[in-house]
Amino acid sequence: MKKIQLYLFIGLLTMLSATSCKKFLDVNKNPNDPISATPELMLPQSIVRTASLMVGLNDYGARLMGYEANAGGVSGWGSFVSYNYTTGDFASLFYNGFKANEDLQEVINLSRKDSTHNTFIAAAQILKAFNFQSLVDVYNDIPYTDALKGKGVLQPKYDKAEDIYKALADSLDVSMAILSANSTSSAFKSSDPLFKGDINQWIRFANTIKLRLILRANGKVQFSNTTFNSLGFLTTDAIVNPGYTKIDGKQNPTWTTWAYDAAGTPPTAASQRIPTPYILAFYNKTKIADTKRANLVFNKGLEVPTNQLGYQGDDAKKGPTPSAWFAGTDAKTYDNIGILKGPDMGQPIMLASESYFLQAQANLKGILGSVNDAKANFKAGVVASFNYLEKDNTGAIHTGNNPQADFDAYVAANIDNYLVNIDVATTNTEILEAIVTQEYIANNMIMGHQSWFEYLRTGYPMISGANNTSNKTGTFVSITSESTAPDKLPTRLLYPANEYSYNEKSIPTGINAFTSKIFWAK
Amino acid sequence: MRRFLTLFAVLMLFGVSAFSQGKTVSGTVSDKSGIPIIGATIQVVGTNIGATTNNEGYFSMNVPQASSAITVSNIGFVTQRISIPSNGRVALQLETNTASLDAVIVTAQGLKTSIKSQGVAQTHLTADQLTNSHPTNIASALSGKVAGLQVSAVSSGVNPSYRLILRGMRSLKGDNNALVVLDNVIVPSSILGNLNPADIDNITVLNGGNAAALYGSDGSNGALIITTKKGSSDGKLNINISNTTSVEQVANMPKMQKSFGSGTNTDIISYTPYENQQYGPRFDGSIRQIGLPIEDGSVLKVPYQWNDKYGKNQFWADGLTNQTDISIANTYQNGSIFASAQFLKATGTVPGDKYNRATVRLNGTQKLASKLEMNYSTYYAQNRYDQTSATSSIFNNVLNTPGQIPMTQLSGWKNDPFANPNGFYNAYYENPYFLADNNRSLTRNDYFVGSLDFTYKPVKWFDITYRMGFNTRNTSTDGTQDRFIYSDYTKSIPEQKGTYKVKDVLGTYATGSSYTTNIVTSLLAHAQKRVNDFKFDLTGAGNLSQGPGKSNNGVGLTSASSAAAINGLVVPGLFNLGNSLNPPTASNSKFLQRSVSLWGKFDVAYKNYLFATITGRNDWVSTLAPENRSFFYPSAQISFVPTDAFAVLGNIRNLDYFKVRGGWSKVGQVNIAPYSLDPTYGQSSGYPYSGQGGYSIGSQIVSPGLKPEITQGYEGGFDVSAYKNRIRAAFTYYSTTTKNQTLSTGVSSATGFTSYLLNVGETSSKGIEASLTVTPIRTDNWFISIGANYAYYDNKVVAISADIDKLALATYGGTTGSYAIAGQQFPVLMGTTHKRDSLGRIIVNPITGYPSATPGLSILGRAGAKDELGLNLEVTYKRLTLAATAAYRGGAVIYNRLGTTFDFSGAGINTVAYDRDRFVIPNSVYEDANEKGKYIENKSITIREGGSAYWPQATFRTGIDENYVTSADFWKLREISLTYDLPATWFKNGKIGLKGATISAQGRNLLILLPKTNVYTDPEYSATGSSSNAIGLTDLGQTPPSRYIGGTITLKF
Repeated sequence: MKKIQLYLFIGLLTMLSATSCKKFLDVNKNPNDPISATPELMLPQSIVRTASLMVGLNDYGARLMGYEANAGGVSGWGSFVSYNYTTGDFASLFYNGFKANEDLQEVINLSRKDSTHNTFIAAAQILKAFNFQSLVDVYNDIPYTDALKGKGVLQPKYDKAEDIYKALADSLDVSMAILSANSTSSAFKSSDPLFKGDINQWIRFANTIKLRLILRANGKVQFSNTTFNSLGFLTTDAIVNPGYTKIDGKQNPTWTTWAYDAAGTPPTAASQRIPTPYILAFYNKTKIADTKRANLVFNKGLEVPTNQLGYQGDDAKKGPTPSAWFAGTDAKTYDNIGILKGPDMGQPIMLASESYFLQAQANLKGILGSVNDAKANFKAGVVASFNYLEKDNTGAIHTGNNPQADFDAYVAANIDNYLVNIDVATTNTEILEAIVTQEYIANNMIMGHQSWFEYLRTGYPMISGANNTSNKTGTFVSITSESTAPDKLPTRLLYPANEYSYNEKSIPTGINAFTSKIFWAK
Repeated sequence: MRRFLTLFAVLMLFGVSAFSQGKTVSGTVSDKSGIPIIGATIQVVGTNIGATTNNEGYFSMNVPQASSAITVSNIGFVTQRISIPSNGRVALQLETNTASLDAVIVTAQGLKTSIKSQGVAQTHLTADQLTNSHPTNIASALSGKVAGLQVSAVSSGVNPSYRLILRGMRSLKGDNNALVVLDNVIVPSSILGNLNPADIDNITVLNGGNAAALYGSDGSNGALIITTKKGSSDGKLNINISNTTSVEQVANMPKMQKSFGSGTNTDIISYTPYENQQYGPRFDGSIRQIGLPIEDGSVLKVPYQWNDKYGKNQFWADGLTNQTDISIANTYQNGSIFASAQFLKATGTVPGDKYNRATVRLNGTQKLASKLEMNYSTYYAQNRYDQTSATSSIFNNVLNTPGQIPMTQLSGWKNDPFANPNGFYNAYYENPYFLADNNRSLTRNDYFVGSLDFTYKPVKWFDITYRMGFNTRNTSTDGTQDRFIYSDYTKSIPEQKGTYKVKDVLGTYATGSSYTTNIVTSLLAHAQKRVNDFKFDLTGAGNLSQGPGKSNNGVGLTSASSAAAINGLVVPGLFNLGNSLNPPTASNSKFLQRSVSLWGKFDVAYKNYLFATITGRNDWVSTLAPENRSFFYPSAQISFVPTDAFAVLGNIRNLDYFKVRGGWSKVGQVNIAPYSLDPTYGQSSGYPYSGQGGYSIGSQIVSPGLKPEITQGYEGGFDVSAYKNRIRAAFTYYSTTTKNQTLSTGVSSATGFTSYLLNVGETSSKGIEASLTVTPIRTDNWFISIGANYAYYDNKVVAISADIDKLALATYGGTTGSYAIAGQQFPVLMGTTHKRDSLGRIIVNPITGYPSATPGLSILGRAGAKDELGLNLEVTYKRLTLAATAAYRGGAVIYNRLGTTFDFSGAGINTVAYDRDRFVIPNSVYEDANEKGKYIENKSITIREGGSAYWPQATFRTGIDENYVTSADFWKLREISLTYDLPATWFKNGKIGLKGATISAQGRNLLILLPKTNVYTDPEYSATGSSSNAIGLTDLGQTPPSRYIGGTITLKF
């Protein structure tokens, strides 16, 4: 009997200590970070993240297209002026693009749980297609079908760029169908810093991306459906603004990069870049007279210092503070218009002007409407460019500006120039050149990458002559280019080093920055 | 044997003392930790009269009136001689004789064991061996003294950080630093830099996982078991006061060119007065303007030549360290006490850097009742750093200063218009004196380490110990940068457009604080039994820990931290979160980890020559998922002393002993930070915006079912001693593998994530440790001892995972860096190399002569040393002792990132290798214009330009990493000291009670020998700090290595 009691006691003690031991050890609940999320919390951030991608993409194109060149007083430019890219150059474009898409994918995964989030799925898919197009346009073949699967696929295989283009157009069709079948909700409205939950705007946006895919594919992709949604295309700029404000980390990313940080310190790199004589020629009468937009775009308008890309002599012009694209005096006093409108300005991800110029090109190609529509769309595009630049930080046309009147004056000042006055263009070639050239001007330091892609596909704006110091306005090509290509330009970026480290088996081999072309390139 | 002797002595002496008349001498004899020594022999000097201590370590005997001194001896301890005090009462603590096999040392968990029974390699170091160079950080004193312990000072500054690695690195991403145990309390290794070296009694280094198996998760990297002093050694009140003053001087500056000054143009070389780059004309001694005219129109002119007197190499200050120590020790009837205090004040080699440290310690033993004993040790240390936070910019700016600039004459930036940032000559690099003054970092650290244990020994064969160990660190940091507004004049100068001179310094302030606390309570029960020739020892114990272990990688502790910062000061010079032009930012985090463990140890000894030990431990750790929480690991070891077992061996002349040993162990290590099992979300992209939150998914994927990593291995070796300890040697071979590592590997960002936490990877660590100590001369006046220890390391990455064969440990921009690669040594450096043909010749452009970089990365060599040799010398002549330690490390390479800035600026010696002329890239080829893929040896195509169009250019020079990889081999004279013990006769009649005095002079890091190609810095440095495994990279964060020279005076009362 006594023994039994003892055993009971020991047993009880063991049980007690086992449970208290479990309690003692159950302390692994994260007090620092949440371990779950909702579509309402994920979508807004994903949209803002997508908007922030524009800064890096623009810089990539801007360096290549003569928007920005090395300023004097700084050396060590490396691939900036030689185009001799390494696997380290612009590696963040790859990472940031996939990161944004992973967040969008998470929106889709979380939204699948209930049907009230259909609009979230459609919006996330549209932005995913938008980002994937940028990635294909930069890198050609990339992981797509295997991508964004986390531990499901650790070494995602690379898909053919053409196949991705086709799949993206399909997913845009699906998204537009979902949006047409669903109405907006208050949750969607408050989670959408891009179109404030406006379903029709989302459809137009998706439709415009689809147009860009089909146009850019250059006839090299068999799309499943080449018709477009009847709501048409973007007529306004697609601008993301979650409430950017002059607080560290909450400023408009373009402003932070090219103007001032929240404390009011100018970023070092910004003042070390200045425009090229090539781009200035489209403002200072050398090619086109456009004082109005020069004043909107450049620090001190036509007086902005310029440097030919690659020129590193002692007398190379130095950049103004904070940058050549800042119109104002300091972090507190600025013009509120142009490219850098303020720390609270919205971040465009697609300009209305691009929508019109794409339509115009589609008109020429017979993808959309007829050739006759091209000129109207061209004019609308140029007006849209004035319109965007004359908007202030709140998104309204800044007092004392009138885009239409400015457009009319612009045409009047360049009445014989078919690049401006489309009515004097005589051939489709001239019309195409005018469209893409005006797209180039409209994208200046806003969507540099789109200009670069358009150049690779169309060859416009025209460059001529050798890349030497006596041909400053004839070409934007660096005078210290190391490219072996006939035009002395690179053709693409290399895949980032990280991919070579962790996914080498899947990467297409033989990629060369001077010879490997993006599939749609000329 | 020992038993017999004791018995014999007792029998012999009983008779004698019974008939003696005179006075009584009585007292206790214990070891240094206060444990009574049973059977110690006490003998009156000059007579046969003696006694032995009883079970409580007590003795009492009658001695003749005339007797003046006694000697106390016991096997395994150093024999001590003391004079008989007037009251006849003594309390003695005997010093362990580490040369003896029977010496008892403290090992894991405070357990005592004889060296004889140890089946694994361990090294025991006494205070004398550690502190004769009077180091401020005990880690530096360990260097070169233990085979297999690699001590690296990874940084410079007022209190450098050290990496202490035993037997090379095992864990790919986890902590590889040796466990530090201070008086039975596991402490973070940062304690080492805050420990008063004078408090240390001894350190036992347990090289392998075997000996440390009892420490659980943390012991797999071996352990340093530090025991501090308790009581006095001679049973009297002892007071020690000492002062050490030393000077720190920069030694081994990176090698600079002294021929060319400011300029940047290619082809047509010209002088630019405000340039930082040194691709200008050759020095000609003419008077030239430096900088641009300041606002009043005046200009600074200097001779255009290398300035030795005031130039950049004179920038570094002499650091001064002054440390004062006081300690009081006493031993009395029922216990002992040791109290000490130290104050240390130091200035660094970067002008303005200051550091101080104050410590107090109180240790003691107390017999509370006849069967109950208490041991306690308490330590409080505080340090204060006042350093510049711009060290790497300062280093960069100083080293890249053109040679003609009178650097040190430009220190007064507040008053001297040419030194003021407005008028400073350099348009690209700020005045380093201004940077040092304007960017400050103030750090406060308070440490408390305490332990208390009670031992109850109801019967002779059984004892039970309750122990509470505690350590906490409380830190706060303040980072300040004051406001500086450039003048309108400065901003208007066209040459300065786009430079720092048009960017106002708006001022920042960041403050943060954190604490970490670890508490461990344990209960140990120990029983022993003798059965015939066998002796059995059984120990069982349980631990409850809150935040156990090391904090090196943030794993395993209770901690919380918070930080806040502002950007843009309203009022200059006022550093407060309220004094801000912008809203402050703030963040905080908390961690808690707990573990429970049960462990046991069973020792069997046969006839005092064959020993076996097995241990087992089970841990339950909170950071793992409940189903994976529990893990068990055992160890076994065996030790055999043939010289004791076989009479024929024991009788070999001049052979003291020979011992063979072997061990096998398995140790688990949890390398998972708390809360890492679940993927997390966090606000991102600037969210929240006006009341709306926004999440991004964390960038890490986590594999389900993470488990602890397991290190398993064996070792074997022998110890031998001959000629009465004059020749001693030890040899150990070990081989371990570490599997199931918890790694955060990189993954393709196309997965949507950047890292993946999973259990993969296997490393192997094999090596040899050998030591030899020879004492050729040991006479009354002379003692000469030479010791050498050697370690060979073979640490390999066996596998990483099926999908991934390499792992970046740390990289510059995701490419160049330190990597773990399957099949390679761990770690290796990877970087770009020159494009080469199949014969390994550099391919150059047939027109420009310039080489180019490979697109991918290549392995540039192993980063961990292959061979390490430590040499120790001790020469004593009468009262004069000379001690020296030298070390060699070899077989590794290092990437000197700072080389790229020297090439960029043209300050480095390499840039004048061809006297700035055009030259043919050595061993180069160019492609045959007519036949693709065919290469022609290049004898004539020189590079297009030999100045700024080559050396600073990333494409052909600075971007090719192999240009900056050099051998990391070195020889170092680590420490040398000369000590003189003042003759006791000098103090004999002194009324102040001075018993003795010692004066010494010492130097540390006196000499470094580097291979010719290493024109950069100390290869022991690591840019990634002391806890990172990414070794092999140095950068500008580490200022030039310095040497320390100082003197000490010690007074004993």
